[in-house]
Formats: sequence, C-alpha cells, structure tokens
Amino acid sequence: MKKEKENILIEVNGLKKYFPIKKGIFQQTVGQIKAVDNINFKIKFGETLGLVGESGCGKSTAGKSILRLIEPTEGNIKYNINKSLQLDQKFSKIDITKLTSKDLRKLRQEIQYIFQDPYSSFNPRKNVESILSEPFIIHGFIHNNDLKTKIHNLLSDVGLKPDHLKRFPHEFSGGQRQRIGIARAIALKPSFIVADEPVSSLDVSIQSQIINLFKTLQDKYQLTYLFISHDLSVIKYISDTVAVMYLGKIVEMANNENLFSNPRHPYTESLMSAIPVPNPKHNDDQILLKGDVPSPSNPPTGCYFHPRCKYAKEICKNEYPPLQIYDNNHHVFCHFSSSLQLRPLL
Amino acid sequence: MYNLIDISSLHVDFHLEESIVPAINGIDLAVKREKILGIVGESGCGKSVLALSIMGLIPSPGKITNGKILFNHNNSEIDLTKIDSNSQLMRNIRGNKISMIFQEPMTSLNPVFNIGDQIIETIRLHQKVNYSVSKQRTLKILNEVGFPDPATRIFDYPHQLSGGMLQRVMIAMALVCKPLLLIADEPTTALDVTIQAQVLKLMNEIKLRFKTTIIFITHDLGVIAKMADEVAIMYVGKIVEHAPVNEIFSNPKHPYTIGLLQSMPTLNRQRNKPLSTIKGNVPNPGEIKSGCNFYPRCPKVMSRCKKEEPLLLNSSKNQKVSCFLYN
Repeated sequence: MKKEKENILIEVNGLKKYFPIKKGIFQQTVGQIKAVDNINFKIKFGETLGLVGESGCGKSTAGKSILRLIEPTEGNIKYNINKSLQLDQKFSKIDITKLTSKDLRKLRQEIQYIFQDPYSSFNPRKNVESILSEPFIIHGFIHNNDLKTKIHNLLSDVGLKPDHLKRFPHEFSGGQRQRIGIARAIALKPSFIVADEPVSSLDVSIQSQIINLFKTLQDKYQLTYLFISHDLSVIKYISDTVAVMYLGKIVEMANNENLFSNPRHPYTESLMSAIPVPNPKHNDDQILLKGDVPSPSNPPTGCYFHPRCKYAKEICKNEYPPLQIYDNNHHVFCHFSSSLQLRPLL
Repeated sequence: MYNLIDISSLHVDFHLEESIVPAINGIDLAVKREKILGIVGESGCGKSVLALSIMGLIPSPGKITNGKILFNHNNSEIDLTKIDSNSQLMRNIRGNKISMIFQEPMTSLNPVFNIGDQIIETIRLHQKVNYSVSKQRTLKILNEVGFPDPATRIFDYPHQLSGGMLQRVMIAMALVCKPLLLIADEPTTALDVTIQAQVLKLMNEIKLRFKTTIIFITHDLGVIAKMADEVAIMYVGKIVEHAPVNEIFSNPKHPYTIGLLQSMPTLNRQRNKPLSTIKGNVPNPGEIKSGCNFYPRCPKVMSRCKKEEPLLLNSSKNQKVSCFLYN
C-alpha cells in the first residue's frame, strides 16, 4: 500500500475554478460559472491520464489550473518532485497551489504545457532556433556550450531536420508546428506534460504521426501525461486511465480497459455510442442524447446529466449522486451505477 | 436514372501575384440522384473549392479555367461554369435548386438579423409569397429540423443559440426552398460528438423525406461510413478513388485511401502497437511538378509514378482508382 503511494506523481484534490459573472455599472458579482467543480484525480509516474469531454465541460480549465496558468479557486495539487530545483518550499511533495511565483517559475522545468493550436502559441517573429533556445535561457542554461547540440537532439527527437532551425513558424505545416511545440515542451526534460487537444487541429494522416511521437517520447523520457481531448478514440489509444468530464465535474474515471468494456455512467455510454464508426456495415442503434450541454453558469439541479439521461428517475432531479467506487478503482458519480446495465464499446 | 450533376475535367486555378495555384486539377465526378456522395480529403485538398465551384461562389482570384459542370434539371442540361455568377439565372439556382450548409454555423449567419428573418428572406427571394405565408413555412421547416419551440424562438438572434441549434437553422434555411441538391461542407466538424450524432441523423432523415441529393464533404471517415452511399477520396486537387461506401472500407485500392484508413485511432485498435502513418506532409497544390501527386508519400511508389500522371479509371465495375498499380 505504501509503495503504491510513492509512485504517484501528481495528486489533485478538490480542485475548483469558479469564474465570477459581473453585471451592471458597479460590476457586482451576480453569479458564478463553475468551470471546474471539485475534481479529484491521481496520476502515477510514467502513465497517461486521458481527460475527455465535450466543449465547455472545463477540461482545458482543469489543465491550466494545474499549472496555475489560471489561478485555481480552491483545492490542492500535490506534486512529487524528484529533481533538485532549489525551491524555497523544502518538501519532496510540494503543493503547487501554495508555491510562490518564484518557485512556480522554477517548477516550470518540471511541468510543461502543449497547446491545441501550435501556431498561435509561437511568436511569429522568432525562428525555430530562438523558440527552442528560449527555455534554456530562461532557466539559466545560457552559458551551456552544448546548447547547439541540445537543440539538435531535440529536433531529432521530434522528427525535424537541422535545416528547419532558421525557419519561422508560418513556414511549417500544422503537424510540423505541433512537433516544434512538443520540442519546446520537452526541452528541459520535464517529468509531467499537460497536452491540451494537441492533435485535434491536425489531419488524420498527420494526427497518427503525432500520437506515435507522444508515445515514443513517453517511453524514452518516462514522461507522465495529462492528455486532454474531446476525441474518445484518441483518448482510448493513448491513455492508461480515462476520466470523463461533464459540466465541470468528473462523472466517471477508470482504467482504460474497464471504462470501455464496462462503462458505469450513462454519459460515458452515450459518448461512446455517438462516435461514428468507420465501418459502413456497423450495426447502428445509436443512443441519441436529447438537447445540448447546459450552461455551467446555470447547471441543472441534482445530477447535472439528468435532463439528457434516459435512465433518470426522481432522485436524479434532486440530489447530486455520491461517489461510488467499484473494483479496480472505478470511480462513478451516478445513483444507479450498480444496477444499470450499460452498453460497452462494441 | 441519370445523374443530377456531371462534372468533367474541371480545373480551378487561383491566380496569385507570383504563381498560379491549381486548387482543382482535373476532376471528373458524377452525382447520382437521391444519393449521398461523400467527399473525403485532408485540409487544403480542394474539397471546399469543388463545392464552391458548383455554387458559382469561387472567391477571387480563383477561376474555373477548364471543364464543365452540367446540372440536369427538367430534362435540360445547364452548364454551371458558363453562367455568370451574378446573373439572374444563377441566382435562381443558388439557394433554390442547389443550396449549401457551411462548416461554421456561428460565422455563416448574419449576427444583426434574427434567424426567422434570415430564413424568410431566403423564401421571399425565390418564391412569390407574402410575409405571413413565408413565416408559416419558416415555422414548419424549423419544426421539421427539430428546432425546439420554434414559435417562441423564431426571432432569436444567432448569439442566443448554441452551435447545434444554429446548424439546425442553417439546415432549415438550406432546405426551405426544397432544393434538388444540398451541399454540406463539413457540417458537423465544429460540433460536439453528441450533437454531431443528432445532426447526422437529421440529415439522413432529410434525404429520405425530401428526396434531396446530398454532397457531403468531410475529413472524418467515421462520419462518411455512416452517411454516404458513394465516396470520392480527394488528394491535392484530384480524385484518387471513387467507389460505393462498402467498397471503400472493405476493399480500398489507392495507397492513400489505405493509408488513411489505417492511420485512424479507431476504438477497436490495439493500444501497444504504434499507429501506422502516412509519412511526410500534404504537399501544396502545384508543388509536385510531374507524376502522381502522392508518390513522395506512397509506400508502393514505382519509377513510372514519378514521370506520368495516372488517370482515374475503372478497376472494377463500380470502383474507380487513379493509380498505376491497377491500370
């Protein structure tokens, strides 16, 4: 039991991010958008947690709050550090939410972020060489004579050529830009990477190259990923554990196999069934959800999913379901998760 | 049953200052009546330009330089490339006989007019009916596309609606004049999967109920498998394979089609094996000067592929492929 605890790299407890809604000339706060509402998860060292959900469910906000690119409202994020970063906070297990901005900056060597749209995350006036040397300069490796070799190694890691160094971001295709984004993220040999929809703006034939690259780098540098995507098939391919989010809350979390072979939340079931299968002979009785995702500023009462859920009963309208834990750490928030017979992935 | 649209050797060039970009480089395509033709391709392959050339809406500096687009209607043939895109005849066809749904419903509707007036405008442009009749028709069509509570929400503005509802408005607007051909350009790409499933179901119902012919453009092979009767695969301004949907998925011929199908991270794929990929990047149109456009990325490239351009020929009765491996 104790050993298992040591393997956990990051542990998120009760993370919340509320955005105030302000109105009127005095900018009074009239309400709150609960973008991320009390989520908990752990990621083991060297593993990938896939965070999946529809647009507006708060998955990106969750990713950004973990790195404090957005300041979280509540909660703590325990991070198991195994490098000497000379932080002021002297613990091996630090709480990211309590770090000073100076320490936070040092921690950025350890935790990196990859953005959805690589083009808008680069300075268009900088060429690849200066984009990739920047992390080294910021973190004080400027006197390092082997900066050039390091950058060349980075390029070969992500499958780019040395003659790309003098080019600017606009001269690359989407897939190549994402490779530069990945190179920048792994420059300082971090342990943990938050990848926010890194393949969703890419074409299918390029998408598979980048997914493979993520896997190769994970094996090579023992990286831990929080992989955010709306695409369940990408998530299934890359993740060890999958967390399904709906309206700011995680509704189901389990290891990859369990989630897909034995879903226990109706939302997971309908999400899996909604994905078009690339086989025209596929037997087609999709579970169609009614209506749209409600607004997080005004979530439904009780279980947030009940207005769209075909299994909803009276209790679902009034009470948010408690957490239920099944075998293999399968977490579900549903009143009827023990009795429902949900359709697994076909 | 004759074809609704017959496209032959269509070329569309964009005349830029330094160069000429051949966005569509010789396309032959027949659209059968009351069927859904799926057009699949990666970004920049010219699938949207193909749709816009049927509509007569190619943006400047693009021009149709060669070829015909025959529109068969009322036992007569009209060559759409020969009609001025601002002429009265084209205006009668566009939005009335042929209409289009665009990728982003958010940006395709006018934000300063309410949705009801925008649909009513379409009706009154094409049909001689008064306001109250067209309002009745608007309510009816909104109801038919599953727009919730049209009577109270008909005069909502686009920003008051969600993406899925806006796409229903777009579909209603495209269908209100009962077009013969509906062109849907990535209609569900901007939507979430659960909303996408709703819209796809709606479009399948529409095909049956209105007997509309649909050209469905997408990059998503999963959506194609669900929707299309026939599929044309495009690569850099050309069609490389054209076959019935079952053929494309069970017996793909062109190396590009095979590569596309294998590189998808489908839900039943094994996790520990790397995904197969197509090496390299999609070239820009006009970048490859001679031979087959796909040869730099093709795993089965032969010396002939670098010199000669393959033609789109029948490899079996109803499967056409443009590759030297088969002809």
